[in-house]
Amino acid sequence: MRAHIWIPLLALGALVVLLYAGMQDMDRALPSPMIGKAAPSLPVPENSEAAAVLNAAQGQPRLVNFWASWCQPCLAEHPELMALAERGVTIIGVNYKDEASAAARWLDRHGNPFAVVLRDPEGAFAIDWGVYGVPETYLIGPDDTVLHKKVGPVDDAYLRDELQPRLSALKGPAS
Amino acid sequence: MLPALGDMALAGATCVCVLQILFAVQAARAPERYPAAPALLNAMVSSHLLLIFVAYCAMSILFVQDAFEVVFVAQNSHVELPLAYKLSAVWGGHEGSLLLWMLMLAGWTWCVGRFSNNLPTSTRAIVLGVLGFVAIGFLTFTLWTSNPFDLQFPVPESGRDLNPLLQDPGMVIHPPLLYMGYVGFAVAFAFAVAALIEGRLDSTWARWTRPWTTSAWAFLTAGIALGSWWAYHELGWGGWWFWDPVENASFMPWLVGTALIHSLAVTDKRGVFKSWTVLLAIVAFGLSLLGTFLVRSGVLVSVHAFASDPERGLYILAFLTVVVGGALALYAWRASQLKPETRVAIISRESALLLNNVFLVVLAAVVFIGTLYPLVVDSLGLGSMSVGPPYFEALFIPLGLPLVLLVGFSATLAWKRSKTGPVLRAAALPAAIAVVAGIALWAGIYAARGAMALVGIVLGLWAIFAALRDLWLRARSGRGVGSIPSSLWGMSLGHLGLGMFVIAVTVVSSFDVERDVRLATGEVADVEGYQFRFEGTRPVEGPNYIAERATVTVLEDGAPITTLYPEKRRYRVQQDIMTQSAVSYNPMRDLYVSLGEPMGSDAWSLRLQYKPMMRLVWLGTALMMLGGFIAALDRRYWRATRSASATASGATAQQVS
Repeated sequence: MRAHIWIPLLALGALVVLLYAGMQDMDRALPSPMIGKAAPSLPVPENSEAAAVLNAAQGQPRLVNFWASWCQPCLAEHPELMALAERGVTIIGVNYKDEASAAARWLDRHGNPFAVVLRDPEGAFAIDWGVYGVPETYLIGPDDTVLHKKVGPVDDAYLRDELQPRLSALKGPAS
Repeated sequence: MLPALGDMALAGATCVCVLQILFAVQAARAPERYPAAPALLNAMVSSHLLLIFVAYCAMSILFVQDAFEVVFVAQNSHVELPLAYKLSAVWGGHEGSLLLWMLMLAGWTWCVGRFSNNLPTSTRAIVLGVLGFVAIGFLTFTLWTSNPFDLQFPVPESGRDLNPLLQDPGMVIHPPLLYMGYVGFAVAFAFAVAALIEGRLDSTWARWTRPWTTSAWAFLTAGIALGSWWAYHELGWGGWWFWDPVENASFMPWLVGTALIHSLAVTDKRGVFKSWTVLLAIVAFGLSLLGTFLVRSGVLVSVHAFASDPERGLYILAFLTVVVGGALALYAWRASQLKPETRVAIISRESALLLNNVFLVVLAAVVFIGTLYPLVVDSLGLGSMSVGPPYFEALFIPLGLPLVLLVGFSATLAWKRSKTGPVLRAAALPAAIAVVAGIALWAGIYAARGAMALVGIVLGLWAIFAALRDLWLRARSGRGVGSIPSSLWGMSLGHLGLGMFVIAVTVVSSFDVERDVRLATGEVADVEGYQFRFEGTRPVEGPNYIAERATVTVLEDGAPITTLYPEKRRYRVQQDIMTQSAVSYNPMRDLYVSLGEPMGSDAWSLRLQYKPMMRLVWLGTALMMLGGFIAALDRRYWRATRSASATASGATAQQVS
């Protein structure tokens, strides 16, 4: 029996193993070394009003969202952020490598879900946070530690499976 | 009521399929004991088609009725959605697209049952049994993991609307045509499995398979072209092919299918390459299933991906393994029993077609590697990466152009053995015309820029003139144009279309001009001798969107030639913003305007593009598709011959021993 006629079958076997392996890391969560550590510093607010909002958020559970007006996935997650803000979740927006005017226009046009918008035009703060690309969303606990990191747009599954249980857990002991 | 009807119809179809497979096995084993087998199988196939059709109609009616208690309807429709899009929304999501897929499979199966009276009962039973097996795979997949008739409570007041990207006429017909192609390869696959089981790998088998394969290929061609047309008009970037994983998933079966229709020709006419041809038939369908898997498993990131679910991916993967693995194991077993084939002369049509197959399969491998490489890297833990257009373009140009050169020799090379002299003499005139006309076009219109462009233009013209010569020679030697058989018409049209496509792609990729400009009302931008005057924007209201519509007057040498109305639409339900580009075209060029962002005080950013010969890309693919359909109609395939089956069984005895 000639050996080469088995090649197609072996190739299929290899392909199936590969695809199966590919499905195993379906959840594309990137573990962040920041988790459990103190949240890195944020850009300095541009005015006293923003500084006051930022101060008030200290000691509260809050989200830090890195976004940019040029980023399509940011637009995709935007309705989810709006809904979160309406439900009283504090979201701190860090405008990443963006023009101030473009960012302002984007917020005017689509609505502003952020309690405060900070600017990181060079992406220098993003390096400290370990941002791979926008959008990225960090959940910060009342003790100012990073609890969770979401790479890519916020979606239903993230809200349901990751964010909501953690927020409830934070609220739980208090009430 | 209707959801329950749909559920029952699907369950009923599954039962019919089980019967069909069991009976097919009996009939294939002892055809002489079941004289009524063909009629009975046909009845099963017909009732299967009827049941799937009922399920499909039930789903369509649910959409028209805005029955939001059905999860799938709520996710993909809205009260305001226009009726045509409500009907096409049936295949706008994963679950419903499976329904369409199954309807097409049932339709193809019915056609096979209806038009294969000249097949021996055993072959027919195996073919219908295999198709029944494929159908059962998709039916159980639908019922277990993705039932489109699932209900929800409480009933939402309103639906989530159809993705605005899919609200386009091109998108309405693109998936059905694509699925016709994918599913059509299931027929070629079923014939291949039947041939392997019966040990009848011969020219008769190839002749039975050819019309099915060619028409499936033509559908796939049309489906891919329409997808590309849709991307060109709807995505608003002016691009028409992005080497996106899902585009690649449809392109791989196309390339292998193209190889298959050519190698089937050799097996049909000369009885050689049998083992290779049967392998291609299996691989073409395997790649169709792989495409289905890639879109639905979430393994690859793509703009096309349906909402992914690991369970679904796992099911399709298991199904792929069983179906293709089973066929390949059968192949390994049978191919080892084949006798060595007669040698093929180097200068002959057989060897030219073999070379064509090598190039096409290598091209398919290039796409395959480019599509799956990121997955390999990811699995090995080397990080995420993506393979982009530069990789594909670097390999497609050197591997694709020799194919075009080969195409021109297709009809003048004789079977068995050909003399070099006559072939070269026949090539001289079209080659000379191609070179002269090519240089004239290149230097005259495109100012002699880019040597690669000249190569592409000349090769494309060569394919066109060589195809015309084939028709002319045949008409002269026979009894005029009417004596040309449809197989030659089909082949020549296909090759002519390919030539046109190659020229168009060369020209548009070498000489297109793109400018991003900021224009206030009344301002003019100049692109390649055309002046675009921005006349301002005004709001317009569509059925389910509001839009900002710009008016752009296009002038040539100061005289207005046309007015374009690009739009920026915001769909009310999903709040998505869509760019609706506006295109003015003639055969020589497309002028493409898309509206960007407002830039303050009645100025907007606009993207203006000049895309030479873009229309010929579509015309070329349309000709290829037409060629496929005409070739499939050739009378030779449809003559009901008893003698064919008689000689076939004689050949069987020779084959397997």
